Amino acid sequence: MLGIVIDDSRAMRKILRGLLADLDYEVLEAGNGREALNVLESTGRVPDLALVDWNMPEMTGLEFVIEVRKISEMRQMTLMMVTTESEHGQIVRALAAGAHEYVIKPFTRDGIIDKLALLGLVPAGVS
Amino acid sequence: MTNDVTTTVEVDLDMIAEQVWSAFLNGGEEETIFAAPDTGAPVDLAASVAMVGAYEGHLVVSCSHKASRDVASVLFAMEPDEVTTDDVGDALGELANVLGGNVKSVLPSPSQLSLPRVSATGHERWPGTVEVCRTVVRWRDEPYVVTLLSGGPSNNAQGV
Amino acid sequence: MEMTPALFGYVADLVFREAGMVLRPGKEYLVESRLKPVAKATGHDTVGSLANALRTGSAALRTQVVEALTINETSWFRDREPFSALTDVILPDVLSAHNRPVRIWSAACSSGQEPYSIAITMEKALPAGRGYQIMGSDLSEEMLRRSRAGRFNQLEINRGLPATDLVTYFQRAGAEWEAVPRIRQNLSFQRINLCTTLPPMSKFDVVFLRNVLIYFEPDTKRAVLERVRQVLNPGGWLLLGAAESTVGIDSVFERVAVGRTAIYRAPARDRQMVKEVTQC
Repeated sequence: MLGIVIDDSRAMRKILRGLLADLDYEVLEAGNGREALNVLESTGRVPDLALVDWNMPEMTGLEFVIEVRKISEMRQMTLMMVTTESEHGQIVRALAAGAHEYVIKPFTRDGIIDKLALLGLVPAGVS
Repeated sequence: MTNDVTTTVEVDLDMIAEQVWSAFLNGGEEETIFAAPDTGAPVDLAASVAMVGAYEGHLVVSCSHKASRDVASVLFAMEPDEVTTDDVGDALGELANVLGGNVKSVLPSPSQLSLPRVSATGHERWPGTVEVCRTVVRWRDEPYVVTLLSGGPSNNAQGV
Repeated sequence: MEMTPALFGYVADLVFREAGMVLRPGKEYLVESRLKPVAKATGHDTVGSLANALRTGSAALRTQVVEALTINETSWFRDREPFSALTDVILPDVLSAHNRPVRIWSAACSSGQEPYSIAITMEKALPAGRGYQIMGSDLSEEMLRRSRAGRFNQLEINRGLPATDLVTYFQRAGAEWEAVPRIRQNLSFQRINLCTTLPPMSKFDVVFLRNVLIYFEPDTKRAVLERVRQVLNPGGWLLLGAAESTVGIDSVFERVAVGRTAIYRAPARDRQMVKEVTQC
């Protein structure tokens, strides 16, 4: 499995990278939406999963979701917002733009894993 | 723009702080005291996010240098003496971001949250603001003061 | 004061007597971590001194301790298979059996994630014009208070509640999320101790009794299953936790395999129907 963690906080990227690595994911990182699009283009790979923060410089997570949904090769990538934005309307907006799931910060490790299980993205035999 | 003074906002900062600490910082075995007494101990660093829109204000978390290194060491999973100034800024900024987003969700919407800014100055950086509420979290024997300020120019909205 | 083996034994006896839950030696860490907040709140320096105070303390203190030790962390749609079994096997059967509202009991519902998960499942699965009633029960007044409020904090919401369900069935209530009236009107809550005679209640089509039996000794398990069977309609359904079974404890329930899990059925008036369902 391949994942990409998109967050402007290095600390948050490290936490999420560690969590995905424990689930046997190979992990890419980007500090904002624009950088993520560049990483995806330069590696030419389609991650199974993107964990996307909302508030980031240059290109927000919501803008990233809208952009990446326009790229047909990326359509099978599952998009999960992981953000402190937690108004009802914000979640509706992100889902309408094409995000598949939404985790509100602060999260626990179990919270992320529960959501990934829901999406069928926890590899069998890993707990 | 300032907030309508007749609007009373009730923000349960204690509950929000408790969730943030228990998820990100407290491994479960350490004692964390929420709604701790405010001893007025000097703080060295302040991380803040601005709210702009239907609600105008700032969420500020301030603490000592030692306390900021503790936060960074837990978030980065490193020893406190290994963390760099950059790590401290990143970690404390993310703490303010997570607290700010949760606080924003209970305030009048829609508002936008700025990117976090961390600096070495204290309260006087937010002229024209009024303190709405504050809570003190005592973690690893260090106080962390979480304050919601209302009004004032959104002077750190462009912070990086 | 130290948590001596004698004090641990006293706490274990108390929890067994009041809640039927077995705390074997080796679970001292659980007692220590669960009771620390209670000790603090009641003015005791250590969990040991709290345990000591239980001997002479009030019934309220004992209740607090029992509640703290019997609380389980719950996630939404826990284990998922029981909820698929509910929509794929149980509901079609119940809906064809009668036209009344479907009645479901979520026993030992803790902070409410299970009964609210069941309600969301019913909202999505029930055909128009069919109603449902869910009763949640727990031993703990504190858990019942939280369940009735239907409010969950951010960390609880993150535990496996799909985002589309969150925005459809919950609204913001301060720093928490509150279930919308549309689903809350179908839920009621009541304090029930499974280890004693059940209060009089209308019969149920389905009982969720998950991860409860694991805490009980064989005799208690048998008695609890017997009581549950008596409040089930003929042919009613029982759902247990993944590590639990009626097999070897209660031979009256029929085990029905559904996917990777198993559900249990009380004797139906019409045995033919049981066979049909077994084939799914």
